Amino acid sequence: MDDFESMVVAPGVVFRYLSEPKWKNLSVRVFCKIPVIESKITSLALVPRLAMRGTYQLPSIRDIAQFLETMYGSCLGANSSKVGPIQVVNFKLEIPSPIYLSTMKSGEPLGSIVGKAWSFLWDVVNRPYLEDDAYPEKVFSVDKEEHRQDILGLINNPSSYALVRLIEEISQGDPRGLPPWGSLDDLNYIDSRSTWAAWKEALSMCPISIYAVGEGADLLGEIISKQELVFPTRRGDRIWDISENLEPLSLPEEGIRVEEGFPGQQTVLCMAFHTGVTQSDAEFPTFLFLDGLLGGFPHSKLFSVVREEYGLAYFADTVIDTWRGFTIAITGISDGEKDRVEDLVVEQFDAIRKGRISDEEMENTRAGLRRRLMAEADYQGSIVNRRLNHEILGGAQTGEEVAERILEVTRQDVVDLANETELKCVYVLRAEGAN
Amino acid sequence: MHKLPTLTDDFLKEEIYCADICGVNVFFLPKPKFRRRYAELCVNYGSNDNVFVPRGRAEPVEVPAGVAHFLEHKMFEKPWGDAFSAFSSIGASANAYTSNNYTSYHFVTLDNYDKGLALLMEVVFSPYFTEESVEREKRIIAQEIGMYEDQPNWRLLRETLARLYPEHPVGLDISGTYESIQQIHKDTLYLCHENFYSPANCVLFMAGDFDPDQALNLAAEIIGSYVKDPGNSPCRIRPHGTGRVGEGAEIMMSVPTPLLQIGWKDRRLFDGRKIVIRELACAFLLDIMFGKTSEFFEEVYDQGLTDDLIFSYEAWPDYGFTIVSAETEKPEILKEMIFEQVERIRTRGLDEQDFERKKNAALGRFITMFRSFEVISQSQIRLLGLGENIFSYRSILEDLDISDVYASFDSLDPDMSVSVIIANEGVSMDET
Repeated sequence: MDDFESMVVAPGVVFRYLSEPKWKNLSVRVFCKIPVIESKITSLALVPRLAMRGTYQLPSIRDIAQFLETMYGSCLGANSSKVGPIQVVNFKLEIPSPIYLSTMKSGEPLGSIVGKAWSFLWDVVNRPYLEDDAYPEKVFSVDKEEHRQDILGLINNPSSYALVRLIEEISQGDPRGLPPWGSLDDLNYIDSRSTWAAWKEALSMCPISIYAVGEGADLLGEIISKQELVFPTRRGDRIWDISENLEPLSLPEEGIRVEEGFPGQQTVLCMAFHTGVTQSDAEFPTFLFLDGLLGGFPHSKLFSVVREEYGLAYFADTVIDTWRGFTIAITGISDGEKDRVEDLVVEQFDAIRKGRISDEEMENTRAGLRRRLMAEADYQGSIVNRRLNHEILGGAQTGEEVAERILEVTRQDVVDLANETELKCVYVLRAEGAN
Repeated sequence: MHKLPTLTDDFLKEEIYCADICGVNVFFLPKPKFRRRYAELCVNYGSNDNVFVPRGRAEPVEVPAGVAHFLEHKMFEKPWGDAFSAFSSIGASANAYTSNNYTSYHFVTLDNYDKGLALLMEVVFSPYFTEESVEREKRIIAQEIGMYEDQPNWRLLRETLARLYPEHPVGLDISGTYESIQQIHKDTLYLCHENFYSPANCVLFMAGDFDPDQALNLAAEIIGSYVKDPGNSPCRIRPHGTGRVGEGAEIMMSVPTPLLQIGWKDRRLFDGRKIVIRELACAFLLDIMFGKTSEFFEEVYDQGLTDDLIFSYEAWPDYGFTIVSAETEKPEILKEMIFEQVERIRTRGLDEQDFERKKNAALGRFITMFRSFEVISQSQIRLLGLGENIFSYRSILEDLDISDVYASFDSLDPDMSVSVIIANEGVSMDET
């Protein structure tokens, strides 16, 4: 059970920390939670990349990289992600345990090490290197182009690309369904000044969560509690309420079917089943169960039938969307077998609807889900992600809470949920270059 | 069970308990306060082992490419059913992978560790193949090959290694080809299992929050029930991978941005501790030349050539190579710049401050490795094969000298290099 300490450190800014030496490091993460704004999502998606290009104190990538090396191989990361309809611009700094660093740095006090790391991270978030109160033009134009190439490069992993396209189709143009990297079209219009303005606005008005997990987290708590956090624009008391617009997107009345081609060897089939259950619902453990039975484990129906029994796929599993309430079957197959596999997937789901679930399947799924949920406590990232998801979408704060409820799920619960579930979208990325 | 001296690191406050159990090298890493319990059984057998002299025979045999990987797939099928399901039934998650030099089988669980360990031994030491299941697996592996064929980065590495090593099996795809897997039958699998899956050729690594004596006693009991004879080391035949390299290539594939990869074959071969030193030295050299603290990286990023240079060096007793790769709209230009940078640094020399700072960074990253059971397991197993261990690795890193890095320049001989570009169909290379 994780026991975070919390404190409000500025209007709408909460700092949570968990001191624990077992990971031999200190991981600090800053999350800025922004309701999706169609005109700004792409600009904000660029912010992490631009932030890592330089800060006010360390104005270049080289300067930042050298600083991280002087901090004994500390690691900086940043990106734009989504939790439900909320764009989360996030930053992460991981430093080796300050206890060890203090010895390696000839007795430098722990507070000094942790303080330096924190100042650096806060600068990355709030004080990027600017010219004329905007991101440097040359930097901005290069990074915009790199971002474009990253978006275009999604096709280099066809199964991930197929999932992205399926979600796009299900979203039916609702901007809250936009991906965290924004859109290609926007890149033609955004500029460095408006991007910095959008980020300043987000920092002044959006809720921010700061998490520190690991050895020295309590020290960081002491440091932050004595500081006044500085933002580029002062934060007032008017903070966006991100809970206002969380209801899942409306869905198409009829099922959608989309087929697109690409010059590859293997067709990717994605099938989205809508349960209507989200992570804050009481039936959420049942939803996890349904997903696990269908494709979440090697004993699941998709793996055992599509791959092991018929030999039609190397991968046949499911991906879960806890905001929209989807379990999405995804499999890579020969194009010539796509109809057969689609029928097999529907058959396996129907089997669940009809209660054709053995005791062994039920208990294997229960044990597997319990293991996954309980094991979250071993990973700093999992602990923090669960908390962040809870902040935004509600539901359990820890994996253990869900694991306890998993023990109570019955076969009939799963059957009932399966009978309320509809197949809402089939997306096929067809291989046109197969040998 | 024959207990061996415990490996310790007083600075990190870590210990690894060691034993030889029926020929299997066994390690246990206590990890208090972690919930997961982990075990990895690694067989010293990979895709590079396609020529060997079978036990009891005088002449070598060559098996089709992809056998080691095929075998790994089939080891989970038993007369009583599927071992994956058996792991699931005890709440464990199991998986396996094949590399050029190893095949690894592992599981993680919260409870029933003893049952998991017994199942792991049965998976690895009790082969069961039928022609019907072998034929079915060919279709599955064909899909796996297709999946990787559609990933340009995977294709890039495969093409580079094929050209660097026309004479050595590291140039072959680990999974084999659509054609080679058709040549695999159950007898092939039994032959390879018999020759390579002997206890003396295996290492078991365990980790979790339990008592070391309890862990080793459990391992002794379970291994002892499956293994009676340590067996012999296999008689593998591998060429030395130091011959001439092939020609570079431009491969047409539908990619949004071209990909560039340059590979350098190391003319020199090393063994034991010297491999560790070579790998560290080459890693430092590459980071100095192409890492984010380099002027070179700043220049190529600012020019919009690429925002990510990926580089690595890898060495084994029979081969070693360096890879540098990037996505870039101008692969020919970036390629020339990379070669020029190598010569520039070779001429200019290395900055001592740079080196010391990077050494400290590497030591810091070493500390944080210990949060990952998998990383420690794989590192310890590999280092065992080189006569070292995870803690002696730290000493080697601490003792690394800038002269070692200077000595590693010869790993970047332009005459031993190959470049591969994957570009969009319809884009002429002349336009770059």
